[in-house]
Amino acid sequence: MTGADVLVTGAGPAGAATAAALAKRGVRVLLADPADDDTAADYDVMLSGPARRGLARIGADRSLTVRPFDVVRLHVDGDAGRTVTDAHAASCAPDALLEALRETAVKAGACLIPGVVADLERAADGWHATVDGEAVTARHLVIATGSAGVPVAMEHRRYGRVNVCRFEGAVSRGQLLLGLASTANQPPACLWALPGDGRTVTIGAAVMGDPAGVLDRAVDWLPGLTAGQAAGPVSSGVIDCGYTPERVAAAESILVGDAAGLANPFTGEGLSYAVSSGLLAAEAIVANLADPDAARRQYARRLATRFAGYFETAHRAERRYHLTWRILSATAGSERPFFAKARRAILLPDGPAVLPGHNDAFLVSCDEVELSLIRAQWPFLARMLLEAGGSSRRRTRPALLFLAGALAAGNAIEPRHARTAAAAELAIYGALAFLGQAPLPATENRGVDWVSATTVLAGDFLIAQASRLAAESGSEVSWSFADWLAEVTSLRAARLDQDAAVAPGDVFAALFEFPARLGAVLGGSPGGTAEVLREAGRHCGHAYLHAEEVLALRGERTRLDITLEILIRDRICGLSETVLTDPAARATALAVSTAVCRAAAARALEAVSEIPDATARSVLGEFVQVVAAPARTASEGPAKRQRLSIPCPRGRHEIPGTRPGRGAPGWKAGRGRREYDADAAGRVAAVPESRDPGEHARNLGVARRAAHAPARGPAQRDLTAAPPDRCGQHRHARLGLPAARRRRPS
Amino acid sequence: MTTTVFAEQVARRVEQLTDGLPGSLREPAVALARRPGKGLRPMLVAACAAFGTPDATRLVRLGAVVELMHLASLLHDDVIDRAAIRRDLPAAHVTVGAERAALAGLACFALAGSQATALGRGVDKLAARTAAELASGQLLDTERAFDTELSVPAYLELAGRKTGALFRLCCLLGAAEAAVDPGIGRALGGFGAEFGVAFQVLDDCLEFTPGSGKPAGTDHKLGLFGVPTLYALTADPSGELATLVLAPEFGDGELAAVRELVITLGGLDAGLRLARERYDQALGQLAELDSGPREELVALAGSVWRDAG
Repeated sequence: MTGADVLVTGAGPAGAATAAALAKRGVRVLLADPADDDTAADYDVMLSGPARRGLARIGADRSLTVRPFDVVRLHVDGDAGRTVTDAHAASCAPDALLEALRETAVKAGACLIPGVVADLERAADGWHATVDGEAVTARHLVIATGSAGVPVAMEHRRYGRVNVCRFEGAVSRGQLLLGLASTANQPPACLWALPGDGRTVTIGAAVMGDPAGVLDRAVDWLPGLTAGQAAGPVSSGVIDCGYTPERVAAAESILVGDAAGLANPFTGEGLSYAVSSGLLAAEAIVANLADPDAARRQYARRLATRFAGYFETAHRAERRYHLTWRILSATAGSERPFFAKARRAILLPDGPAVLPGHNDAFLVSCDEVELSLIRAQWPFLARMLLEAGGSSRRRTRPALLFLAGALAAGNAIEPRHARTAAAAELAIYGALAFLGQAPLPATENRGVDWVSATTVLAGDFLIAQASRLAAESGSEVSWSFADWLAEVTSLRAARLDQDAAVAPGDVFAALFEFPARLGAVLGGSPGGTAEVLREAGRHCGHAYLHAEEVLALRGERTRLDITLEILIRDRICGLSETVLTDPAARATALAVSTAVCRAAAARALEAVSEIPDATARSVLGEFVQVVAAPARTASEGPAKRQRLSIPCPRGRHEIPGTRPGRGAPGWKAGRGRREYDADAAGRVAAVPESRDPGEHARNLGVARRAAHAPARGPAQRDLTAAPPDRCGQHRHARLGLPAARRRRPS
Repeated sequence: MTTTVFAEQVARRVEQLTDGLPGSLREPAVALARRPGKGLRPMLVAACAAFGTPDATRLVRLGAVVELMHLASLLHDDVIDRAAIRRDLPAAHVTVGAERAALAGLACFALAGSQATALGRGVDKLAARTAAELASGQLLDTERAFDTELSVPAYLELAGRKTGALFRLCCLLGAAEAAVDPGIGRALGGFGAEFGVAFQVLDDCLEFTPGSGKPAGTDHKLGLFGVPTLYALTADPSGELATLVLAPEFGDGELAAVRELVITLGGLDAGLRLARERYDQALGQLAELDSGPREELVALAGSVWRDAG
């Protein structure tokens, strides 16, 4: 009998990646290879950016020859198309990929046994099975057998098919051509032409139905493709896109890759999910080697915070899936950041962040709160959210500002504050959805205008969820949320009206200061510290916008996925239109934006240096560095970060809540405030309003502008100034709000 | 205080509040606030609060909260629907552009939020939860475009979120203000939710009643089919109606043909029956309540019903 820690059934990409990652951590693994697919594949597969990152993490990229490409040409219904850069993808032969993965696993010490796993049984000491007749036993079981033979109920499965075929003489000019095709009475399809060895391309199609005949029309849907000759048979495979958190949580073993239903139902892509779910599974097993159930639970939970399935909406799943197609198709011509982001998130996702050290418990809780509110209703938004917080962009997520704020006074972070941080983050994403609205087209055409409708629907949805979380976080948060939303709308309107008193960066300053301030107040920071956090957040906002300008001026992909033209035309930035046509003006603008971005970052770091708590300084200091990274010159590079005097230790940030003996102060402060609140609300209720409400609102509007003067001192002093109603007064004083706004009556 | 005077006070307060909005957001919001509808939502707040002895000033402020939420959703709905006309004048996005109209809606929502929080007693929480319902109702309402197979129960679910939720909020806020027993509060909330659905179904039927004042055919043009059309579609094995409502060009001629066919197929009658049924169910929720304020509330509901029907 062969014994091991882990038995992995199936040596495809997901199974082999799991085994390799485990073996590298010294875990004894049996990798069973049923060898059911011994025909040599006559096509290439795409390795997406995240798939390549995953392979690199286990070192499987070293012996693998790939043909990298960065550019994707996206066509919708055969249109002229648009270019998506920064794909970091590659193509390779599937057998080479498998060989590299298996070799990596075996070299690291995994035991590869050919044969089919049978007679699986769970006993007190672990799993018992036979592989080709030989008895094996292992404590953990990882199912990696693809979409077939998985212990999953039918209703959880969502099958699609992928057909691929190699073509000779067809040319795709070294880039991936990706096409979305919707035809009447047929399920929509995704087609692609993947560059091969120079003479051939692999043409493929994925459909949540039958792709028969779709490949024949590839030239229609992919206008960049010249016709070629089929150079091999059509290979066909089933994909399962039915991932739901319940499906994985309910399984007795760990399901990875296709077995978990992780394939993308739009593109059929599954490799990146196979690899990253394998890595997640390995992490969970290593962390719970003695306790397979704990490993399974950890894996299911972590997976649920990194993936959102498209069919999680129960009886509305199909409808939402088709809504997403509709939106993709109808907004194909829009370069608005919301839709550019949607296209990326759905068709070319950056993938989940699996790097440990960036996933501290608090941020994971934020993800869980956000996803739990959204995934069951709007999976497409959940995907966008995951992407917004995914991989490199994860390091500029607003929840980090909240985290830094909450730690600033040195108090323990309270788990319930994850809900408030999620409120701030959702609110910011919601506000961004509204940024820039195309003029409505003439109404002659029938039907919904998806460009306007989607941004309003999504923005409202996110803002409403945020408002709910804010209200549930207590009336202080509720009040400051409403006040902040009013401020953001007013600043943006002022930008639209070309009001010189409002700088372009002020909108972003307002977006970024909110989570920092909220965190500071809830974390028990005194007014002065909260104001420092707020100041740091504001400068981060300015730095962020100028970093966007820098990237757009350089012609690089920006974090908002926004084009230079839209930045200017929608008055999001303050650059002049001449930079679009005049190279000299553009070069000057780049120098200016770079300098302004650095200056804003320097001011932010200055504020950061005043924060009492070292961990908070380090979290926020790193945040500033990442935000302003595009403005660093090439010679400085990432290795030579200007850290000034801020200590930024590498690796995992310690959450003070986990330190012994630091929990009490935060709780005490929290309780005190709640009592105070109830009292304040009671008193307000008894006091009839004595002022003209119109005047109140007018003051808000007028004074709001003044609040954006850079001076910090006056705002602080004004914390005790009398606002128009008592309720507001208390909350302002406590939340460190800019009472300055209220001080200046019109 | 008569309900009319109350409605006017609320309208005035909403106007004052929106008048304080900054810059170019003021005009679209104020323009809409100056042309209030019937003030049904605030009047529901007051009628439900009459089950206790509420503070008159707070009641006006509560009424303003629900009206502001309503204004916010009107401004956004018009952007989503590309509706050219709102309350007899050009819609906000026509006069100030889509982004300002959307921002004005957000600003009204923010105003509702700060007003709700200032009122204390959990008003903000109730309002925020309702906003979340409204947003998901809005999503359901839009994604069904051109769905000729939408079931009536699915439609009623979306009507419950899109219209019922706000009516329910009005009733709950009134009940909370009156500090009624939880049982009475539940009954009033249930009444609001049901009445909202009945109101929505009746509103759908109005598209088929000439001279009702509702702009004709807007929903059909968008591919959003109400209860009469959905009923008629199920009663039409020939598929003629489905072809007609899905026609790529949809003008007055098509609209007239749809109207006639829906009426012939019995869709309008079925819609009116369903509206009446939900209306009776709504009133049924009130059966156990004190007769004085109950009669006032039933009278309010009845007057709306008569006006509409």
